[in-house]
Amino acid sequence: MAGGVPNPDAAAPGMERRALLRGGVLALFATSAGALIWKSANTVPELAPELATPQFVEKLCDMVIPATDTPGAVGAGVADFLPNALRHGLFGGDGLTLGRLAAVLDSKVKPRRFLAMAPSEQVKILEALDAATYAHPGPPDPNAPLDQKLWRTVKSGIVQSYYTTEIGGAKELTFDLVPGSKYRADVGVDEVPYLSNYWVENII
Amino acid sequence: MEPQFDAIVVGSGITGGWSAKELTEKGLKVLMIERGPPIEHQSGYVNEMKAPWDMPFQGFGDANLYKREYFVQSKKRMFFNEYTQQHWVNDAQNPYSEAPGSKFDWFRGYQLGGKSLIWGRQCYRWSDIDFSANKTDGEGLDWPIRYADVAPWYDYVEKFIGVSGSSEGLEVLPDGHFLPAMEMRAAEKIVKRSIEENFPDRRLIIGRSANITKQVGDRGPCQNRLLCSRGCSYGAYFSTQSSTLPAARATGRLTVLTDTVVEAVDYDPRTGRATGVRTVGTKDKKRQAFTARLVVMNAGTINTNAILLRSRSERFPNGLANDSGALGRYLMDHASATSAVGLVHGIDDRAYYGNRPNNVIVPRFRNVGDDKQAFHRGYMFQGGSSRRGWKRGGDGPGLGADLKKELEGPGPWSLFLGAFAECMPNAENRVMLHKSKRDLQGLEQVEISFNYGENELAALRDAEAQARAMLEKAGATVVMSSAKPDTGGSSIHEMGGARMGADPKQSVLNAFNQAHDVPNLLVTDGACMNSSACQNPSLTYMALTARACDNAVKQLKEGAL
Repeated sequence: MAGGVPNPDAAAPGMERRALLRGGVLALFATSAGALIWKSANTVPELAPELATPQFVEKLCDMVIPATDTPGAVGAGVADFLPNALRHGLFGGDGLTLGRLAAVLDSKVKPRRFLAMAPSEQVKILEALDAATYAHPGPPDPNAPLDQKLWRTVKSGIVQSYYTTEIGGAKELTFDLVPGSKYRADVGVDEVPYLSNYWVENII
Repeated sequence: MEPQFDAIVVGSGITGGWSAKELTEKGLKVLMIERGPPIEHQSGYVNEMKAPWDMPFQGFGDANLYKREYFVQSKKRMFFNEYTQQHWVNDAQNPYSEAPGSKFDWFRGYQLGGKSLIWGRQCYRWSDIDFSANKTDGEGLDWPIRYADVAPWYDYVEKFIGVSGSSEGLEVLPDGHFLPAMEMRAAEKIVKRSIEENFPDRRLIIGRSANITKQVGDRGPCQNRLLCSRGCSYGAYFSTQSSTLPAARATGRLTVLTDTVVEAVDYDPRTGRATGVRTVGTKDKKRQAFTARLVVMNAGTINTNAILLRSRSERFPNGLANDSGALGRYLMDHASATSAVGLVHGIDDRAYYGNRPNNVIVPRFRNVGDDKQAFHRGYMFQGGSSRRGWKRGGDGPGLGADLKKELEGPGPWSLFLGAFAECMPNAENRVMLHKSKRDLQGLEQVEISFNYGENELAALRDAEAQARAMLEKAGATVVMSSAKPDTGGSSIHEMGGARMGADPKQSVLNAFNQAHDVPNLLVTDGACMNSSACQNPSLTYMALTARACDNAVKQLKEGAL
């Protein structure tokens, strides 16, 4: 009865690359991720992604959950955890998810690179993508554009990674593995701290 | 030659533990055989006290590994996760087959304690409505027992395991010996009030759970952690490890053999009795044989059927104790669906603290009393309410400090109602042995044929409509609903295959769970069931096991076996 983890990034990269090579004349240029963007003759952008740079992952982590009075996603180590987690298929991603997102964001600002933009411009770009991704409430649309699928995967991964670190789970929020006598079934919302370890609500 | 043991218990899960406890306490020397590795109470719960940041994948687990090797087990997100994956089988290493046109998810825990470590802990008595259901509508074979036969054993079991719950005086769900009930959350209280005001035939009550709310023996009360499937060092829920195994060991008459699969039950045609079992070591492939005066099958519904089907001989060419031809047939599992989920409004000032390891339920109301439906039998709802947590940060718009601020507190309230619909006994739903495929021990692989019928689908359609109606009447906004049944096996309430009955020509077991054809062979796990009701069945398995063991020991002492 539990819902599954959405898998917006289900296309097999190998298949995608083979499809691309059938597409005809290609153009090639570098991206901020060190990845390659291939462009077919029919102008539909196609990506041959490589790994995202640590700087790019840190930038996204910082933009989603920044340091405030507690450390943010970077301080919590999410930028180190997330690429490995995605490589192992967590959050519906894979080892190419971050690189593909980097290439997508670069393509939005070409010929410049996303990482080279001013912070205010980066925020503007990401806010626009975020708004479009979540324009319609409810489950993810399997037919959503690639940039929105990638963003949903990465953002969700950053959030989930952050609140399951000790900084996010026990310093930003409260972690209590053994409620014991402190347990309350029905209590005023201001009377108890909000726990990070509500398993059904957050992990399932 | 004297047998090595008085009794052999095949399996160490919920019923295996009970058999071992009852038989040893009544003076028998018992061998309990478990196919999985040992897990000791407390010291064996390796991830029990770990936080997400103590785990390699922060509690989410290696999704690619799960796709490759735990592709069935990992579907149970409520129970299977990085902390508990060692309590579930590796699907790649433990293959089974599905008959053409069938789909059945077989969830398994191969370790000492079996699925008692990871079960859902919901405990409900069956009523005479259930024990007479097959006879009433003519679907299936009549049970050879009624509620009065089992009631004293329900009492006996509940007092030992500890069940928290509320007495309600409902005919469909007889009351038992309850520890104090757990309290409902705010959204559940609102929906309860509305249901009981607007639907006089229905009630929403707290689940009856083998999570204890008061000390029971040396077992401590529930700490509201919801870490149950990791194993509970407090002993706050019933499991073999926390409850029956210590009792059996305390007698000094129990021998436990782990990492050993039972290949077959041996049978002596001269005496007409089972003589013991043959086994294969899971690690060393060592073949052994053990003898006993009594053999109790508690390997879990599907494996119990498989072992008996493998136990072929000249006398029983189609499986031991299978003169009826019913062995393996009438496999059942509750048809489940997430009937409806609703957002509950007006209580954003309410919250909770801690993780209650329990549901709320709406007991069966269809085809009860004056209610008459086009489909037979009924369904019960199990559900719960919660406020969305920080995970919502990845499901909606927002970035930066504003998002972080928003996630400092809980999100909206929701309440879901999931249905368990009674699964009708159908001879074509069955456990078989594959003709050519073998498992890692070289034994014939299990093949499962299973499909839900129109009655289950009709019940789930009604459940969706009724769940929507109840939530909407309570002012909730229904955000999803469904009548689509989960894959067979998803309820993990698989039962049947060696059904009880008065007629040896149509059933495998008699009224005391003895095989008609082999009286010193007992089957007391889920395989013995000949209807499924719509309640979680484990409490009934336990009661039938205690009752069957009591009867068998009396017969042994009288020389009747």
